[in-house]
Amino acid sequence: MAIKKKARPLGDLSQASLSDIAFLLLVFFIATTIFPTEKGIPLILPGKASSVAQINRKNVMVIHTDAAGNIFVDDQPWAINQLKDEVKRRMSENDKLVISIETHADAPYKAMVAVLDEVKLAEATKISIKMYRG
Amino acid sequence: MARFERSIVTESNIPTSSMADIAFLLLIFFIVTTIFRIEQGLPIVLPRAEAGEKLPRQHLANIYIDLAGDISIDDKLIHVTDIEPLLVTKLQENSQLVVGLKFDEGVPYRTVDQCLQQMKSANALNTAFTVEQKLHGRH
Repeated sequence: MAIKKKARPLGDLSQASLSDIAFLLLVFFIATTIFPTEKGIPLILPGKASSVAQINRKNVMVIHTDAAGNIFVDDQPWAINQLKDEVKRRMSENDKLVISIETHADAPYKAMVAVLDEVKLAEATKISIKMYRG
Repeated sequence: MARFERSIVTESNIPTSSMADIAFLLLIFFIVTTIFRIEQGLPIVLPRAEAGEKLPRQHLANIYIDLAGDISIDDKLIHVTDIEPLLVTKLQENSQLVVGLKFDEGVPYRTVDQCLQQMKSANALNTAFTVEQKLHGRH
């Protein structure tokens, strides 16, 4: 005897919550998207109109970089990882201290940024950058 | 005589069930067709630093200099002496302009100095040396 197969009705898929899922995904991606932000070391340049101020040599700390990227503090060879502490120490001694970052024309840009980074990390505000002339 | 009753109730409604479909269709259409203007710049390796701060995107104008010494602003290759007039017009459009300096880490400081001199004479004084963020304590 042949057994008749019961024709089962196909199950219905509920579509009522479809938009809920869509919005959930939308909200998830809106919340997790991060736009790439650029980071930079800000510096305000002196304008051509600003007067050339005379500064006492005692209040200037010269950090110069030679063509090979070696760093000198007031003509003394210095290690980059001790620069921040030295700048901090000098600033605590003299609150009028101006830091002059002088870089040789042939030195790579990264050497100057490395010095500027350390000086900025020492929270110095009076910074001057220029080309090193022997 | 038999009276015919007029059926006056003519209900008409616009089906609103497909409204969401239309909305999504429009959304997808505009997502697909929107093109963002992205600056190509020059291929450079930024120097790494810890003291980087977030730069204001809406006031930013980037100057690219690569290892070969090519200079690019707004995806146009220019000469060093063209930096000043370009920045002057940019400053007129936006007085809060911040010049982002995207220089390759190996660019000689001579080139950097020339660029800074141009910025000084253009009176574009608000600058930022764009860097790659370095985590604390790593060299």
